Amino acid sequence: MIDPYLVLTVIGIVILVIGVVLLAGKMKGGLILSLIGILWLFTMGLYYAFTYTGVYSSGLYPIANIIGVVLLIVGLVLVLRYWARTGVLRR
Amino acid sequence: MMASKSVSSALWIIAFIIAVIFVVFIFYIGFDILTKGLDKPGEWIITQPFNVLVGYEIVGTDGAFLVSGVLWVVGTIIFFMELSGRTFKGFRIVRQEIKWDAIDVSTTALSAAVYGGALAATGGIPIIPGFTWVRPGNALAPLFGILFGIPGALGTSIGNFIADALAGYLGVGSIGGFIGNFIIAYVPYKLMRDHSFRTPRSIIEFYVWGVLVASVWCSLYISWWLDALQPVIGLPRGFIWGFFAPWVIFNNAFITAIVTPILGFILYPPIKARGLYWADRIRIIG
Repeated sequence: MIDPYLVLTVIGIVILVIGVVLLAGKMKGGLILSLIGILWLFTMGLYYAFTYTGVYSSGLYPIANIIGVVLLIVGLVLVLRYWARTGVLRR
Repeated sequence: MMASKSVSSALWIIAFIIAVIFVVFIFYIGFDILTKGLDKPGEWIITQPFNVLVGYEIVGTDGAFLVSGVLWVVGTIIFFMELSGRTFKGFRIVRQEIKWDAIDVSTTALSAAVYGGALAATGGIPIIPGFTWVRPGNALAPLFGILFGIPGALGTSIGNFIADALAGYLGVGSIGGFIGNFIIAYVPYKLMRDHSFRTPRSIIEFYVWGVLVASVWCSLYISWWLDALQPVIGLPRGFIWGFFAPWVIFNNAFITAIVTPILGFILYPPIKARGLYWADRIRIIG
């Protein structure tokens, strides 16, 4: 029986590799596929970190809530700062 | 002048009545679940259509699996078609040009971080006492589709994937959730004609497409995937069609019907003014 998490990890790696190849060739879609691949593997990283540290078995909350809040704030701040720098927010 | 004003008022009244009917109906379903008990999903009103569908055998399979299978195939084709740069215009398939530049990619990243973060941030917390399952984050999925189009819908997919890991549900089933959440954002994006939340038409369209159709389609999409991969995932069919499917419909529709129109009304003008609204960023060819 194949490990389903290994399958998910391989899917993430394949998406990232395709994205990086397209990006290197300056082809359309490279940036978005790279983003999907990175976030996919980030998710798998979260899963493996939670599994090996025993978070899933010892109680998910409030650790998951805290990570959720951090993700929300960091994501929002980074994108808003980028939009501010590129002039999107000044329109 | 007077006639058009009275027609406009009448349309607003109709839109308001439709919105109230939707919200009251969803609260009624919630009340029905609470009074019958969370441990008796087979008795809930929202489960009854699934009981009927599962009971009918059509061409060698049961009705729920067949109907959901059709929606699954259509949803999957749409997902890959849209990402490959094709879309529907009426009943025709035409090419569309999404730039996928830094702005589109950052929009996807923003949608993923905010949606995934919001779902995880409120996981297991009873926002309303006794209602641990109410996730305000669910309201963002149709909103990101309506405002940002395909980049927002894709961000919703990724956000749900991240939230699955943070909730302990990550698995092969999450692939179904990935496209299922894309559909929640895609349906109102594609099928609403007015995304402003400022006209009676916009409000009525939102409740029909964004609340009803999107919630049902998403639920059936994921449920079919869980059923089809039952030997791998291991969820019993009775759980999938007797609890999971109706629960996902209710859970999505509940918060979406109440919160999304308010957020949409507030966020539409600044998003549109800054050129981030999807219709100002894509080009339909043909």
